[in-house]
Amino acid sequence: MPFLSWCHWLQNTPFAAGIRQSDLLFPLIEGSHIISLSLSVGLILLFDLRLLRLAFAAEPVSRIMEQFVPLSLPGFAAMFATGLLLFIAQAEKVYQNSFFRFKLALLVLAGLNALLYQVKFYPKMAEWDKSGVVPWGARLSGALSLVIWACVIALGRTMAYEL
Amino acid sequence: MNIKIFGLSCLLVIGIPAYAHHSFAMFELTKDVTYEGTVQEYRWENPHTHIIVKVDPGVADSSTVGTWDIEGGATNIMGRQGWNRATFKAGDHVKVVAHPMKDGTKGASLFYVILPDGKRLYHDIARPKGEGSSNP
Repeated sequence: MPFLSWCHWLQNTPFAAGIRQSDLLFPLIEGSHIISLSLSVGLILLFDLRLLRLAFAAEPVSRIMEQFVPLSLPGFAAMFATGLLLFIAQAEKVYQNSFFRFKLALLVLAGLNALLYQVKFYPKMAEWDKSGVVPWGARLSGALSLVIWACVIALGRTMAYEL
Repeated sequence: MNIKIFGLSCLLVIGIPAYAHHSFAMFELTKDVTYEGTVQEYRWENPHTHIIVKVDPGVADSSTVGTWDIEGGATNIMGRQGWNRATFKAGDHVKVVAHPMKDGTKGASLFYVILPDGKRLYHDIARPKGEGSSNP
């Protein structure tokens, strides 16, 4: 397994060990991962609820998107960066964690789902937004996103329970 | 406004040093098992410190024979109880009292170790029943 041995090497670099052995750095990175998650995923979930007309139903989807994306993207960048650092710090252990693998697979799925929305529904958003009716495909994408992100968070939490 | 939110976030992160990485649901907390053997590995790291202990045949409790992964707390939590990165090293003799995993895998949650001079080093503020709890 070349990737596993690479993870072994990564986890044993002074950089990774430094994070892992620091009283302050590790909890700071882990805490920031969760806080940035609330900013990025929190807003994604609210947007999904708008697609389903369960929140902000009186506001156009485009308006919600305009205001959410500038906050959600930096949150996502911070979540990704801190997640990467957490992975580096425990690469070998985490790579072998079955919950982590499942979480990664779902993250890819969440990405594909967002991509599908961008390609298929976003270009015509001005049109359907004016009519007030969200296409059923976009609604489905929103519902899927809600479920996937809930599972990603649950799996991220459960990872800690494998010794 | 944004600065206030940022400041608050920073305070929140710094304000929770004694957080737990996971609950203790997977351990049999009412069982105190003594593992006496040799330290194979002492990992002073986050989110958990680990002591890998090899128990050889011939000990009083034969069910403890084998290699055990004794999980402690975060370095911050253990540091407050007097632990540090040099507390143990591979090859040291060790006597650990820990709560074993419920599912029978060879892992346990550290309760305390008994040092050669009889002094105890605890995982956290929890103490055996009747001894109360204190935070030195």
